[in-house]
Order: sequence, then structure tokens, then C-alpha cells
Amino acid sequence: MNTSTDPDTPAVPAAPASQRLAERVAGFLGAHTSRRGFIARTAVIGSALAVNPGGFVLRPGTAYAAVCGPAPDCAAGYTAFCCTTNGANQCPPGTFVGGWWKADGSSYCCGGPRYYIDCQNSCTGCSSGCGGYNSFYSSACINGSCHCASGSCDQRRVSCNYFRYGQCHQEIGCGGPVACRVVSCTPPYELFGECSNASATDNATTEHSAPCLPGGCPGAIEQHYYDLGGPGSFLGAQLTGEMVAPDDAGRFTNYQNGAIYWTPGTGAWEVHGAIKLE
Amino acid sequence: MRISAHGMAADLPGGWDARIYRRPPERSEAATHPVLHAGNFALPAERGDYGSGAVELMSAAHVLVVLREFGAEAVDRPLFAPRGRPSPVPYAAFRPDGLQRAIQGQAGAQFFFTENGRPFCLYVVLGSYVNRSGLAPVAAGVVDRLQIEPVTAGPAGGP
Repeated sequence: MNTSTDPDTPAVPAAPASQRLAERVAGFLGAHTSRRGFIARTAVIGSALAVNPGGFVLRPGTAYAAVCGPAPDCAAGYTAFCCTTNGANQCPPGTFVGGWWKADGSSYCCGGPRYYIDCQNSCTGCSSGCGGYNSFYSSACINGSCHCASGSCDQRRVSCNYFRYGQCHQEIGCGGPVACRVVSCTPPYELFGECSNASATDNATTEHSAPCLPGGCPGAIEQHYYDLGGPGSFLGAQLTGEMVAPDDAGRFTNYQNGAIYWTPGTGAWEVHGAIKLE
Repeated sequence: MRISAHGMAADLPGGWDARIYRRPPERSEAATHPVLHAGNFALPAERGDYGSGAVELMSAAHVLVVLREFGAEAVDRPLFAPRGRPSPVPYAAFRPDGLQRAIQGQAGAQFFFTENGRPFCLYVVLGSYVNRSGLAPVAAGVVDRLQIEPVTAGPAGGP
């Protein structure tokens, strides 16, 4: 999808230089590798060029690194994205939204703030470790165990970092480590009723990403799709590009289990289930 | 060295660097609150609220203390139920996986509490987990000397 729905958040237009480069690289790879390897490599290179053309073309490194941004390795100490670990850009079962921060000037949000939401592991029933000043359960009481994500390049940590930003679910006095991260261009206090608007900032993560997250500058429909979880959400995979609505009043995109509509007056909203079938 | 702003103050030993700041909100709906950073090393100009940018510069002898205030809605919530800061900061609380970003060799500890009607998170990073018995008392001494003024009526979003 490369068309814009919101005049304030225009989608990145096709970059002819990047396209030409991709075609040249693809041509080279096509002459030097198998068909399956060629397709896989060009897909990653295409993503790298779309997401971070400057970083991929001008700096040494791999296409994987350009897609996932800085510090994608487990040893770098950051937590993996939920879409890498669980297929959807949303907190997985067995976790709760524990807090959030923003990173300013993110290219993934058209130069505006990008929000990161930590999904903390929940307790499984025992209460060992919790109480007083200790706001974390012992590892025996939580759902997840510390490991490295197995994404193509987002190989950050899963359920390892015992840290809590603290703005969300403050009625939960104890939790587990951060299982994974959700990202959005929408402030978390507008997405989750249980999060306060007490803003925290960490610009070190501005360009962190994963292949399962939107690249470039997403339009309003694409932003809403990923706010609902993206391809792993109830809407399922995207079936069409953005299209002009029949009444010419807005735009829409079809997904496996519904659609998202957008008009200047209403913004983006999803339609699915019985209403959609009518 | 003494530093004071936004109803917080710190008396620091020689060789320490500290800042107290409150960021402007990025949107009118957002609220920001005061943050204190104190370290026994030179703090970089660009820092995340929980010390990113600074922790990467820490050697094994360094300590970083972060005190971050939250909004009034957090008062009396279970997460902020403990009354007053931990004193002394418990040595056993420091763990290598208690960091916002895991960095080899370091250790961190986090404490949520309410003091003088104001909800806070105290986050302490030690440059060396192995040397925590030497560094934790250094951090505890600074935390004990932090001053938090009682909450006062002010504009929405904190003092």
C-alpha cells in the first residue's frame, strides 16, 4: 500500500532511485543464486530499501539490519516486537500493558512521535517475589521464560527485562518482565483505557523496527490496521490496496475478515462481522 | 553540589553530575512530569527519561540514579502503594536483568512509591553487578539525600 489517506500523514511516494537500485541488485542476485534464494533475498532488500533506503544504500551492513534498525540482536539488550514473537502488533495472551514511552522524530510515524508499549508477563498464580517495594514476581511465577526472538532480523530479547515504565495498569502492583513491544503512531492513552497520559521519552529506539511492522510513513488506514494488530489481528491479511469509496467520500482497504474505511471527517474505522457481510 | 527544581532537590557528593527537568508535552493531551538524573560521571546532553544515552557511558565504577514523577492519578494505586522511598536502597534488589536495556556487567533496580503525596519511580543503575556491594551503598547515600517537597496545588500534570 503506498497511497495516502490522510493529508497530514502522506504516504511515502515511490522512490525511483530506490526502485532502480532494487532492480539492479535483484538482477545481479538473479544471475548468481537459485530462484528460491533470489525471491527471498530480493524481498528483504526491497523491504530494506522501502524502510530505510539511506541506511541500506549508504552504510555497510545487511538488508536485515536496515529493516530492523539499530541494535536488533539479543545481546544488544532491547526487547523484541510482539509481531515478531506472536504474529500480531498487540500484547499476547498472558501479558498486560505495563507502560509506554515515545521516541520523537521517527520516520515510521512520518517524522512525528512513535509510541512503544511494553507488554509485561502476567503472574501465573503464585506470588513469590512480589510485595513491598518489589514490583516483580520471581521467574517461577510468570508465563514466559527469557529467550531471544527468532525473527529474520528482530532477534531482540523476550521476557528478559524486569523493567516497567509504569503508566498502565497501575492497579497491578506486581508483574513479570517485558514479554514484547507494541508500536503505534497513536498515543497509548488513546488506544488503551488503562494507560495514563504521563509521557516518557526515549529517543534511542526511534528507528527500531521489524519486518512485520509497517515501513515508511503509513497513512491513516494502515496506521489503524496496525493499531488493531496488523496481519495477525482479527482482520487478517490485507487483500487490496487503498481504493476510493463508491460514494467518493473517502477511501477503504479490504482485509480477509473486514475492511477499514477512512473519511476526512471520521478518520479511520474498521468494519467486520455481520455488518460487513450486509 | 546542590540541585533543586520542580519540588525536588539533591545534595550530591563531589564528582557527581545531575539534572532536574520537565519536558514540554508533545501533544496537548499528554502530561509530563519532573525527572531527576544524578550520576558520578558526566551526564550526556541527550538522555532518555530512564537514562538511555547515559547508561551506555557508564564504567564499572559508575552509578546512575533516576527519580521520575508520575501524575496524581497514580497516587494510592497498588503499583505506587509503598510509602516513602526505600531507605536504604536494598542491596539485594539489584539484578543484571533489572535494566531497561540489558547491558553486559550492569545491574539495575526499580522502586515505585508515593512520598509526600507524589507518586514516583526510583530507578538505580550500577555500572557493575559484580561490585554491587561497593556501589549500592554509594547509590543509597545519594537516594537518602534526595528531597521531595509535598505536593502543592498547581497546573494539571504535576508541580
